[in-house]
Amino acid sequence: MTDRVEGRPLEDVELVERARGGDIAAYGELVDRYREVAFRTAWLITRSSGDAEDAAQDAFVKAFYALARFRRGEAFRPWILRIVSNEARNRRRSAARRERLALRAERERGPGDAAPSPEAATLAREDRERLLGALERLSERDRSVIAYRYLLELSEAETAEALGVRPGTVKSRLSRALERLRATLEVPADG
Amino acid sequence: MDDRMSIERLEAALGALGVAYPETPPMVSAVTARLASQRAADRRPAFPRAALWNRRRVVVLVAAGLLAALAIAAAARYAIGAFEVRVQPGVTSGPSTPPFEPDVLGEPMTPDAAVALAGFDARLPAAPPPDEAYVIDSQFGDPGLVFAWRPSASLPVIEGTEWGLVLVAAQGDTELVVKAIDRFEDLQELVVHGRRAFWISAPHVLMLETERGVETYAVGGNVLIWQGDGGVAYRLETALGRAEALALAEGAP
Repeated sequence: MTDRVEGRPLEDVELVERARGGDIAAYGELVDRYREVAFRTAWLITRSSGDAEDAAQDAFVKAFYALARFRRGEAFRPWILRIVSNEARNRRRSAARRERLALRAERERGPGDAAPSPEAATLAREDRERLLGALERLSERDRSVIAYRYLLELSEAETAEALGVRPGTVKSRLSRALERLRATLEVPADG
Repeated sequence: MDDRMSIERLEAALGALGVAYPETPPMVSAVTARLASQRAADRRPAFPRAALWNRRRVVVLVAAGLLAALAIAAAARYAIGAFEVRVQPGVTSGPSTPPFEPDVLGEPMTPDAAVALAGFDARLPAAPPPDEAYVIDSQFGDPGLVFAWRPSASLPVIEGTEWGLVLVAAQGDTELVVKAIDRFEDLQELVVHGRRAFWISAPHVLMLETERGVETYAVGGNVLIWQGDGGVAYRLETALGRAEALALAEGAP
């Protein structure tokens, strides 16, 4: 899609610079690189595939026009995820009454599927569903910091940028959220 | 899974969770097509015949238009200290934006710690002490202070937030908060402590200047803005009515 130097995929910083200069193809490369995490971030907030796709797409378009304000040297991924999160929250608010899909664990793998990671293999499906159920019962604030760190596997710094908070806040917020998740796990779902 | 697991085990379990996400749509061609289409539209003259006008005529018309726009803008802007109110017809008819939540500003701290960090004192309204305080680091001007109260019998919850009262204080005239309202009628001029004040009781948009850039929020609560002593201006957001909000502001020493 975009020029590559000696077969090497361009770094984000190079793609951002090209996109800043108006290179839409270079920006398309960035979209391709981050569309999955962007869509999943939006889906975790909206729980609707359509809304998540719209939110991610609009976020990428808005981000393109906001590239002039993107600080050189900063990471693109948390920056775009923050824009995606804002777009997704806007959509969720406007569709507040629509039923949202619950978090579900991946289906059990069939004989031809790749083997689960050792960690995943140790966590029984019912335990995963129970943990996801407990996550659902947390406040959005607690759920989002846990989702960003453990479900989307963002670093603390990326989580801070994506949530729009200071890095120190992520650590304390995560600690409190994990305590509340643990407490929630001890209470039956209908209790 | 044990009923009482350690945080470390909980973290490990979360790391091993596999969420069944829907399939990610391709998205690239849709985004690039929208950008290309927008670019083409930007290049197209709004009035094709205007492209044939001579350059001097266009410059004169643009200058006249700018003067007219500046005149309208000057008439439609109101400011108290670092708080500015702009009248932008249609501003609230766009997509909703998140409500102003103080916790996006970072780690909450005690009011005393926030005041010490911000470097100026703020006069708090006649209410119980705030539950949380924050410092807004602006890119351009002095830092601002945010105080937040949890809802109580006397401070009903501001719809869409988890707060009963939010007060923003800012020193100086460097723009920290811009509020965009839909109509002139949404803005009332009042007096607090003998000085000019504004009352906004219609939903509006708030743009907050932070160290990360401008954050935009939807505000559904009522807002009172007034000038206090020492060059400090205040913005109070509440679900209470005008009289109660005025009493809170007048109660600030």
